[in-house]
Amino acid sequence: MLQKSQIKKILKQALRYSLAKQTEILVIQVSSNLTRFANSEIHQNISQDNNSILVRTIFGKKIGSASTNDFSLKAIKKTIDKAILIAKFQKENLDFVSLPCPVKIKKIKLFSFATANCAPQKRAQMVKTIIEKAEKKNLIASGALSTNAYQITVANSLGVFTSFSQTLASLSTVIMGKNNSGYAEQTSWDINKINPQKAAQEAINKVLDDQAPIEIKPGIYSVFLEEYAVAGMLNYMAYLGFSGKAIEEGRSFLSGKLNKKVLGKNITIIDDGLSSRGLPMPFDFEGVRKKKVILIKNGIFKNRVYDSFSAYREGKISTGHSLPQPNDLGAFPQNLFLKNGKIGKEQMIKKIKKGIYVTRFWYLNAHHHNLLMTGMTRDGVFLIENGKITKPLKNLRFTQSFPKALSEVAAISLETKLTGENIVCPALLIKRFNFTGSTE
Amino acid sequence: MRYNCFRHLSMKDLIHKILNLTQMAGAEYADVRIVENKNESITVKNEIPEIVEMNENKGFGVRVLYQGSWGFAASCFPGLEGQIKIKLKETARKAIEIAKSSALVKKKRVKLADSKPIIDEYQTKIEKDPFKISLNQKLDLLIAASKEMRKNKKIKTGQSFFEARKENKIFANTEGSFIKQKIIKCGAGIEALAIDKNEVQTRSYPNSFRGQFKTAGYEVLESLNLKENSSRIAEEATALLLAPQCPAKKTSLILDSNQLALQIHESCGHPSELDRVLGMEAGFAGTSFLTLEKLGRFKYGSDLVNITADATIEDALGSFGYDDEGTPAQKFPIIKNGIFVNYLTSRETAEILNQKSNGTMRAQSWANIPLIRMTNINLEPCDWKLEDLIADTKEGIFMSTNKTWSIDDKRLNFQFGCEIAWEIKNGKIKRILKNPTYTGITPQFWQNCDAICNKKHWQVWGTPNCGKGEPSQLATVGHGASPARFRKIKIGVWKK
Repeated sequence: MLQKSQIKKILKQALRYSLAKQTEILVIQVSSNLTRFANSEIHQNISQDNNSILVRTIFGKKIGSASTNDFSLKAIKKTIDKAILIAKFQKENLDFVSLPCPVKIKKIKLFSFATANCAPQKRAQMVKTIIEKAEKKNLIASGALSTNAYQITVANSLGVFTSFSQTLASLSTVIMGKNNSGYAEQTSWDINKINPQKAAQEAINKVLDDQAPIEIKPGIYSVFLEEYAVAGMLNYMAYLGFSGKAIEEGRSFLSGKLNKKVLGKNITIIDDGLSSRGLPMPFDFEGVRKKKVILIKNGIFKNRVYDSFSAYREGKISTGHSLPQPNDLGAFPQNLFLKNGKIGKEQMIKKIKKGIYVTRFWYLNAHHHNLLMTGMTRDGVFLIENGKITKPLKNLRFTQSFPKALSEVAAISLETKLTGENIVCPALLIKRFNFTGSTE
Repeated sequence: MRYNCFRHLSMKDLIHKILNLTQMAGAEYADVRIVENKNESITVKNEIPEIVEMNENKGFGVRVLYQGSWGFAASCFPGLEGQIKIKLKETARKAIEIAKSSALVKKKRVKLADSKPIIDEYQTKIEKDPFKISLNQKLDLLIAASKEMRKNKKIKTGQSFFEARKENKIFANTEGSFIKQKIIKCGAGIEALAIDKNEVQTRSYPNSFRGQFKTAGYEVLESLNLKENSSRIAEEATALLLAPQCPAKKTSLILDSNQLALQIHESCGHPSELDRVLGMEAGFAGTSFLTLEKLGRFKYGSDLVNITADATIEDALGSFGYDDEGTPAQKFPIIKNGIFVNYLTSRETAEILNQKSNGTMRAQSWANIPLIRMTNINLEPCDWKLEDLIADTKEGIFMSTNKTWSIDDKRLNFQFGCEIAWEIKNGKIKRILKNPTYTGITPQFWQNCDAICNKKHWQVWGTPNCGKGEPSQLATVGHGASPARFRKIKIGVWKK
């Protein structure tokens, strides 16, 4: 990976070279390593080094974009020329005002040398720990452990120059018995905070007695959703509900509902790109400082997120939620937090007379823009009877409106989890959840 | 292909240097892919070109087998002078180092099915190079289509799309293969979004998710007549706003070929991938109900159901010359007269079944390892004319154009939603129904197939976004289908 000073030198030269009225260059350097295991052995093991250099050029209201992964000044100049050519041939986008101006960026430390330099032998050792624990119980382990390092740099001709280095370690495992499977994942910027013993135990606990799962009649049940399942819901809400273009174009369940009640009174969702409880990033992909945005407060839609394009257009200030440009999502919340409650998970389960315990959802998809969703349960679904988990169930299909589900939350756990989707959320007890089928 | 940074070194020399390095370090097998990609993506929304993007990237990946375990390392070419040779050596050594660490957690040695060394070149047949057509020419067609959709006042957004991809690829391995391929893919389509009060409906042409894709040139966009189809699509989207809800019941379902393509993809293609069957994807995408004892005897569908994998169809999106292990593109049956007869295989997985690879290993880019991917997985046509099939259906529903899809981790329980449906009563197409959905269990569904339309209605649909693996890879695949009828299918799984 190139040093910040080297990148600064290249970008300065590149910006000086550009003849466009405004020019932006976003550089993403990635070094990623991933060890996959299945059938209790490592079967895929990879390393990738790559760069993305994304150039945006502006002539009045005409925008051109081009990108390359070649870091030579020659290639960057060629990419700038291409972006300029595209901009010149472009039609005007009347809503465009300007690239963002420089702002002071908060310093965040999210780089671990142990993660960036994690040797494949260390990853193999961590994987081995999981496999050995599973094999002691005659179970089969699969999953993945990744260690990645990123450096993101944004510069533009209005004076923006900002850079941020980040590491990310992520472990997921599926432990399979003869009849059932269990799941666990851990995410941190620091590999030393990933605990394979604990992850293995969490997944193994779901398979321990490995009874044959029973079939339950589809219908409406109370449901206990672990944090993984809740994160799956919120992830889709981000794409179809909170993303800027979905709201602007009237496709979101939030369109036209500012300051109106859209979810239950006990639901508060914020986006906080600066919080160390998640995986923060001090600025967005245009170099604008991230701001904490309260999206939903006590069930009421309070604010949306903005990038510079949508902010200028609506006379607002960018909240620092731009993705790499151009994109078809608009401003996007990448650091969601669902506010936790005050009750322990065991206490929540005790509240359920008859219901279903779901570890995680699988293959979610939206039947409708209003977030009527379908998906399956996976890796740990159980019957709850009289406040106790009693039997494993065959996996179930649900067809359920997510906003409606989040309007019927009976309890929210005190404990929260940071998931692989970069969502921090608690477990939920939802009064009514519509299961519409089951699998064999 | 000759990169400027290697002007003093031929590509062949370069590749041999990398392969030699791995062999000297003790690799029992190694392959190298050097890939150069060029991509163009255009989205026009409400007559404004919202996204016009050009991307170029290049790099190389080295895959090694060391003491029966895999290692893979990939890198882009560093732009700074003097770093290139260092990076090449470093990457090859890293692949070996990774393979050695894989061997620390190993149950069995990976063995590869035999394969003959091949020296060859392959190129997609195109009429017009999409990268030689001016941006203005492309924008004119796309803006005209968007404008036409927006003439309908209920259309909130009228979008048109174009994509072009060019891939120059060299594959070489330690067994003596050296294969050059140049593959060009193009796709285009339109989408109308109608909104009225709380109702939102979408119609697309010729398919959803950015249209139809082929291994072909710019002629794909020209042949689609996007503008000519815009007002019809806009009208259908508007009609859906007022249409009644698809009812919930069991009935006869006729699927249009563009929806059947995704049905084949999810419920026939993915379950027949042998890596899934062997548990290699259990930690992420899941496994498959199509376990090994079912090979050659499992009744997958009715006698009419013949599913074929065919990577040799000219202009189909899943076509190529050789896969990313150097195995030639092939055509073979997966389901024959309703019986499951073949998996999609790689050299590693085929060896387990004492077979040879049927050539389905593909990687998204130089940065990824190849995985077993669908090629063109097709439902072979039968004899019915579509009009006769509808006339033969007393009561049922005709669904077209995928909107949503979901299937369990063993590929059994699925649920799909389509953009539009038409009621069928007494052999005639009646009113439009909105939000059509259907659900089922894979083998039961295919066993209920009682009619498939003829070759005239058959076409290969390109699916440019098939996801698999960790880190996630997208593959471009194809599915040939003509409309087909399925009896006693549960439709209308809808509750607000």
